[in-house]
Amino acid sequence: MNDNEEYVREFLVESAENLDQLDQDLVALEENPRDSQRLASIFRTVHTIKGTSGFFGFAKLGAITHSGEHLLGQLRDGKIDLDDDVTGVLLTLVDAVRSILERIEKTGGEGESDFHDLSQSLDRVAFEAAKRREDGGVVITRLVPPPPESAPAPAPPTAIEEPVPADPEPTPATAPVTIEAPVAAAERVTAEKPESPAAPIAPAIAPAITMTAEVEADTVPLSTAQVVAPEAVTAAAPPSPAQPPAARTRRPAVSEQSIRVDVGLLGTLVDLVGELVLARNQLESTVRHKTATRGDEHPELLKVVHRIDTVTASLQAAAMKTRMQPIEQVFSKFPRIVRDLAVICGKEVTLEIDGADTELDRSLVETIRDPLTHLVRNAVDHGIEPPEVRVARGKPAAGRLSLRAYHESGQVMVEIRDDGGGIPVDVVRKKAVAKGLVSAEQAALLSDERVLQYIFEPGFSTAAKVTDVSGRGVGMDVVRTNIEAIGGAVDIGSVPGAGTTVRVRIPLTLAIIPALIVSAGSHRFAIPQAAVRELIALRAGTNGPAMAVEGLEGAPVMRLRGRLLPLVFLGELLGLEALAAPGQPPRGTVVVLRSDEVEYGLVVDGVTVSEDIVVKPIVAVLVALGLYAGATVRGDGAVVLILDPRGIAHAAKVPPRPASDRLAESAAAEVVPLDRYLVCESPAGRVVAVPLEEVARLETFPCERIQHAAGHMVVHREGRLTAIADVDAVLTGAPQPVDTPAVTAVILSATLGEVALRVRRILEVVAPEAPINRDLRARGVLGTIAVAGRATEVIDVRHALPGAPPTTATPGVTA
Amino acid sequence: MTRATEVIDPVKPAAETRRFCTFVVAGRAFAVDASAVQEVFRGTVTTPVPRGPKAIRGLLNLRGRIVPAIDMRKRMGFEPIAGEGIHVVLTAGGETHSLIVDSLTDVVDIPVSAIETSTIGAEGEIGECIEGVVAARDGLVHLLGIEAILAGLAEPTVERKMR
Repeated sequence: MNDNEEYVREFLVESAENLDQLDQDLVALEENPRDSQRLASIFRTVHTIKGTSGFFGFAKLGAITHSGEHLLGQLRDGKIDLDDDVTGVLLTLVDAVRSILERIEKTGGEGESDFHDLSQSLDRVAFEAAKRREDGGVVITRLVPPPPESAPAPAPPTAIEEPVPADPEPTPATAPVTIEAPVAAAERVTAEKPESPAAPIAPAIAPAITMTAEVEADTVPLSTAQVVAPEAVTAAAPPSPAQPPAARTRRPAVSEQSIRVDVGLLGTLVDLVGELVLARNQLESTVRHKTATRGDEHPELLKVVHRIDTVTASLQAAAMKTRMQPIEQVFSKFPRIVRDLAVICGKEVTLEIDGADTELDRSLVETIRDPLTHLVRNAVDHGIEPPEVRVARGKPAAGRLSLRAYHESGQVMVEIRDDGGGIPVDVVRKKAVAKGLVSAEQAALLSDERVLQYIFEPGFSTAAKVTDVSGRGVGMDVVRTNIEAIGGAVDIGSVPGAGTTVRVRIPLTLAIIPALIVSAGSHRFAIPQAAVRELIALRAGTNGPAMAVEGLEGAPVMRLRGRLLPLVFLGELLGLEALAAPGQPPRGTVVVLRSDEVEYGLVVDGVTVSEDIVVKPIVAVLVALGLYAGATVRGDGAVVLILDPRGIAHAAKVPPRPASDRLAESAAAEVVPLDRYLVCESPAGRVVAVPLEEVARLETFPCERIQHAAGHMVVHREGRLTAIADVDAVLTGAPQPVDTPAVTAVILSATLGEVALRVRRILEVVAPEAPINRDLRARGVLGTIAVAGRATEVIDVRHALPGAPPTTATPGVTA
Repeated sequence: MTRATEVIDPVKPAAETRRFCTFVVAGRAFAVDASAVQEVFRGTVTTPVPRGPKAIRGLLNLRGRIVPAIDMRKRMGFEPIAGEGIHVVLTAGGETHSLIVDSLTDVVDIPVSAIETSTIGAEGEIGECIEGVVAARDGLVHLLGIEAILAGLAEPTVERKMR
């Protein structure tokens, strides 16, 4: 019965999806009980599960879905009204179905749990609801249905594949039986058709078979029951020809548009496309080399190469898309969670979901599920006030919880906003002082925004009482840790009395990350840019106190803006060849790495480039070294190891930063803002600076990707066009032609979009002691700072473009 | 396809056989289970793994897959030789590794009954890797266990050089 197992698996997968949909539909239906289409969809889903469970002989599943279907049938036919009892029991049904399915998945059987009570309560609720209706005098129809022949205009079997019509349909044949004798429902059904069960089938399956027989008469004519119990089917619907199980189709509209594909196969596809990209790069460089050295012009060949180039790029984009999934996978659980929670907490909550179709990498969907669920729970439990409090405050009794997902500059943003009471900032402030995280004087100076950050400290809860659901603050540190672990960020904002907004920033994919390629000896390594805070040129003793390496009990440290930064020499840690002869002062670049626990400077020989890399797994024995997070293949086919900043800190025994230090530092930064600048050399050789807070990242792209549009130089990156600013043109009026095969650019995030500032090379990051002199400014120049005694112009990003302000073209424009 | 000849004991009929891929390392004959072998090619390794197991010569880019290459001379305690080698790429336990060997010999079917597992007699690094021995016409063929080869890798073999 291998075939059967396969069908069972398919049934399980499909049912799991259907159940999620059911949760959503039921909650939505509660909001709008008149939504007949939604009700029809619920009915159809339960019906499908019931029908299939009959086919596989899952009697318990069949029995409860049967009772559920009956209740839904009553609802659909307008015989009963949807109230809390009905919704509650239906949700219980969904949970029961889910637990049986999980059981089947694990053991292959339905398990020992008894769901008889559930069937009973389903039937009872149907009965009582109907009775209430009757008592209220709103009798629409008698409970005893007419015989099927006299059913009011039943839909012809051929039209049944259409969505179930909203108007009442004939009551399922078993309905009256169930109402008269709820407990004996299953038996009675069997008794109705004593001759129907086929001999080899156990009696337990009998009700299921009868149910599937109804399938014929009801909605889905392609019942699987035809194969198992032809007698029963023949009895119910003689004209239907038997069909092989493989021909089973439900919801044809959906199945025609999408198919299931093995995840491993998709992975292979993405890998192969990556290979193709490498081959394309090699082809291009070979052709270019030939053209340049031999003067051979092959217009035809160039045309083909160009074509391969564009097709490969499109193929790569499409392949990467197969990794993407809508965030709906996470969001779809929330209506149910919010509803249940609201009931438990005695609150009224309206959930609004926006942007559920926003896509992100499949591997991330699971990672963000728990943190987001936690935030949603928090919002309901602690954010939104009880109805009476809300009314007293002049708000509508029902609180609003809105979930919004959208793409922003290559990342996914998820916003969880409630219109509740907000977080009491003063309580947080007091608590932070009480916990010794900050001094009372400092706390008084901190802005509310900064104070709210304490929410993310471990064990920080301001909830007066911790409920069984959640305590505001409890677990917020876990939320942040989990989100930061995938290179994301969490941000919280709150207005007392008006509500709280939590913004979660998630990278689109973990498969491709921006990274810094560094060198140590003859080796190259990649460092995930998410961990990189700044780069500092290490120049032996010539550049003032900030750059000197000191020894502190044998451990090298560097004084950075008045604080000691532990240093780790990468070459030494990895046992590579020595960078400098013993006794010589060290040279190189300090890559300042920071995670929640540690901050240190990793000394490397040089920083080659910043680029997006495809993260590839490495074998367990190499992961176990604790130094490498993976590997990547660079454009020339070379394999480069990705350093694990946390693991390196561990291997080098960098002491963790105490929490108070972290917060004191951020507090200090708040009290005395310190301007930092990225100093770089323009293509013409001018030394200029840009405010570091405007620097999004550093990138290098081949000059072929630069195009001209509307008088601007633009580059096609991340699926959109980014304007390139030519500093020299701004400062001297003489545009500097692109004369290098690759262009290094500082990507600046301006309010109007991103701008790429062309530079020859990056020099360093500085924090001048004197603030910027704004008297010394001009068009395109914000002011002047002193860098190692030299006057350096600070570029005004907004006016760094000749002519018009920077613009970002609409996504999807391809060259 | 397969020449199942020399190593088969002529007395016992080949009831149950296992297929092996045979190769030479430092002048001796070795074999690994052929069902795990994915491909064989000649090539070099470009990316060393600092502080990695000493037997791992480096990483290969195998059509986008990152594969560590194990120098079998080093793994079994022989004098290593530089330069190109023959890579025998194997997949075991969901991971892919490459064994660098001196030269490839053959693919043979060996009756299970001909595999001697009790008196291996080798010790040290080479002993760890050997699962069994088969007597062939021109000497012994040592059967290498893939798991055993990989398990020995994890030992810290590079001393930590710290400041």
